Amino acid sequence: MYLSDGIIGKTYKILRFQNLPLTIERRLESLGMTPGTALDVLNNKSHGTAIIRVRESRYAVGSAITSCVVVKEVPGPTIAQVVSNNASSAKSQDRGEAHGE
Amino acid sequence: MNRFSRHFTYSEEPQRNVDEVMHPSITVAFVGNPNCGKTTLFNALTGASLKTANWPGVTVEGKEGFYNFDGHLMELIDLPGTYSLTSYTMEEEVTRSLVFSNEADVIVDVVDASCLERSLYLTLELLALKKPVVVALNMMDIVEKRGIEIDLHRLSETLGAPVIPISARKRQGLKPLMHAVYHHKMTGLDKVQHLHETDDGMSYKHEENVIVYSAELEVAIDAVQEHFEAQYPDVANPRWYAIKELEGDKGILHDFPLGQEALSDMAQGAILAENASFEQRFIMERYNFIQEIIHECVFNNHEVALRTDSADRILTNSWFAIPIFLCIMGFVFFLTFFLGNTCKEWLEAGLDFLNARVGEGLAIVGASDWAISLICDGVISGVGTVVTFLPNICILFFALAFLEDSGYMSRVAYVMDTIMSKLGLSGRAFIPMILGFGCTVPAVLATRTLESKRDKLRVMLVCSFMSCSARLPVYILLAGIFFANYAALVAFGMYFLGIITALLTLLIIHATDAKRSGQGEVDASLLIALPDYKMPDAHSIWMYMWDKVKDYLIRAGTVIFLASIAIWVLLHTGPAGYVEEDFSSSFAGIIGHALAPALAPFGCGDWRLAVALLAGVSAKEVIVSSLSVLFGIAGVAGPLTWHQAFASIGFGPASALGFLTFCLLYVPCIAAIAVIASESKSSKFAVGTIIFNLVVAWVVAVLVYTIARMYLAS
Repeated sequence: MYLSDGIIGKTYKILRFQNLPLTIERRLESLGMTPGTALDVLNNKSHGTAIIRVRESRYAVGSAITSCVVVKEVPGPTIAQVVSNNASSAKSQDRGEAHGE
Repeated sequence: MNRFSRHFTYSEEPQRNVDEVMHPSITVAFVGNPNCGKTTLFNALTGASLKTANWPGVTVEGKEGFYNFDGHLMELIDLPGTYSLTSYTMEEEVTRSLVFSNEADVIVDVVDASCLERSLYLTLELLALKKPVVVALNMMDIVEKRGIEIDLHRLSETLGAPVIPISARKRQGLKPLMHAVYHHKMTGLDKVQHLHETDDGMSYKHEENVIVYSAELEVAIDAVQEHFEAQYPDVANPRWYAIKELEGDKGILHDFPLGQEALSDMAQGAILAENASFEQRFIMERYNFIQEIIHECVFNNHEVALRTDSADRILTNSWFAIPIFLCIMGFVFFLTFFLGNTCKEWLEAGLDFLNARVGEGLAIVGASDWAISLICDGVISGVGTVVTFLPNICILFFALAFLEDSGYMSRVAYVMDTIMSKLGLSGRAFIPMILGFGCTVPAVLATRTLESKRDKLRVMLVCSFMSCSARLPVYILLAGIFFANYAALVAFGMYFLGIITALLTLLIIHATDAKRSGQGEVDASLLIALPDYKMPDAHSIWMYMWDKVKDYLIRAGTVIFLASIAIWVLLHTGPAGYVEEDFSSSFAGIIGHALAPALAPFGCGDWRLAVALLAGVSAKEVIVSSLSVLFGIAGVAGPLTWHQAFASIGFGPASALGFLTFCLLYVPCIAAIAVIASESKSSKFAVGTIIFNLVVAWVVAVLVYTIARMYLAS
């Protein structure tokens, strides 16, 4: 399936890019959207213009791009849920070695 | 000790005006992602009022400033925001060429600590260049608020570069940062201490390089590096070049072509790299490495800005997003026009007062009539009219800066993208067009935020069709005279006609352009980072607003000043010399007579209307004041007086509609033309825009007049 068909709230893994101009593909990759990377679909309009979260950053991506990204659904909780679950379990542990500033 | 240092020993404040004899001892380049607060940091250090908007592309070319660190003058260079150092976009190229050029002694990599994963990618690329890099870990205030903890010591070790926590917004940590910059330049590179736990037999590489790739890639790098060194023995840092050769970097392939043997080695390597290109493999391994760093150095990173997510669920919702956006813009317009107009009236009253006093004063001094008229009717009225719009401009830009700095404006691009993409533009293009309703000048300035030059020019071409506030007085006057009960409807119709014309123009350009190049659509497609929502920073807003206001005032003092004088001269001089009353014999009258026949097809064949339209080029409001002067209507006159004056030249409702339509669409005012020329960096484009607007205006006006004639008197 393509990223343009992504459902809001689900997590997908990038498989490959199809018919995407090389320059755009490289821009996506240097933003961390390499094949194998997981992403959350935070919003998606019917035309495929989507807001996604990759590597803790949010991006708005046009439909001309999302319709060229081949993805596979990753079952289970989203990245955000995993992170917040980890956080709540981590809270119970003592993290004395960490220093904010 | 530097012989100039004593000048500065006691002054540690940022230095703006640099003594001419001082020579900077260090040049420091600021590099970072868009939105990382790099320009805010730069402003805080130099005190220069550079633009600090969130829009990518604000820093289009490098900006320079100076900073004095304990008597050592530093030259600071602000580079465009970029995510990586490949050479695919203009920003990347500018940054890369400066970093390469050895012009900078130290590079400050400004990193947004609240999204380290993305930011560190650029850091790795910079470190790979093996130039002195200092990492400025910005947004520490936000990070602390969210309870994220960062092991700075370990981060610095793994990167092999000093890491200094700062908050540019709060101006914290700036001195330690510059101290680190100064000492880093003196002492050189730190040793990298990030050692992989696995014994991969490449520990010697780990000491020299921040990142060591998988064995498979390292073998390929070594092979290419060997060829590279043989071919280019004098080039420093051959490893970096080897990696770029493998990645297929256009610039490097072109400047440092490799021999046949190396290429065939690389081709073999490419087979090894299962399915993925070398570039993809490198990028993936870099990100894997970044995750390793984050795992080691960042703790409690759990609140993934959940508040931003819930705000986005409403603000970018498919149903509510557009209504919410319209409400927000409506509120901005309400502030701009109602609040702004109140202040505007005070300014106008002040201006009238000033005008009268200056006139009296000049009369007392014994100035001749023409001199009084030139100064009062020409300069003060002309420049003053423009200055009276200052409150509107301030409010509009305050509101826009607020929306921008809060992070909402980049969402608008998403919200409007579907509609705009049908016109071949990205969602961002909508913002300048909306601004066009206020004034064409800021609208044109806002095209700066568009990524592609193509979008920029298209929007510039049509944004003067969005009826600016200066045209409203003309609608009010003429619609009031001829369509008493339907005046508001006619005025609204003009706005609507403007929008339709703009959209049709864009649609036609898109349709013809798409035929020529099928690629355009993907390139223009939206791809922007959406920052977390935050409370706007007063300093940034002020900087942004002041910058726009300054531009506006400078224009009022130059272009509009000269235009006012020129129009006065044209109206008051003729072949017979000074003209006081009968403007028909002035040069303006002569030009009016010459132009009138061209305007006859839409019912405006009188020379006075031509002169009014010509005068309106200086500023659209001038049309109203010139009409009253030209028809000899003094002071506040009722519609009846006007009606009689117009009736005497056979100017009726249909002609009025033709005139209004032409007014709406013809040449933008001088200020707008000047900005179009400077923003497009092409006076040819500006001239083209004028001609295009004139043609469109004429055609539509004739159309409207012809249709109106079927139902209305001439």
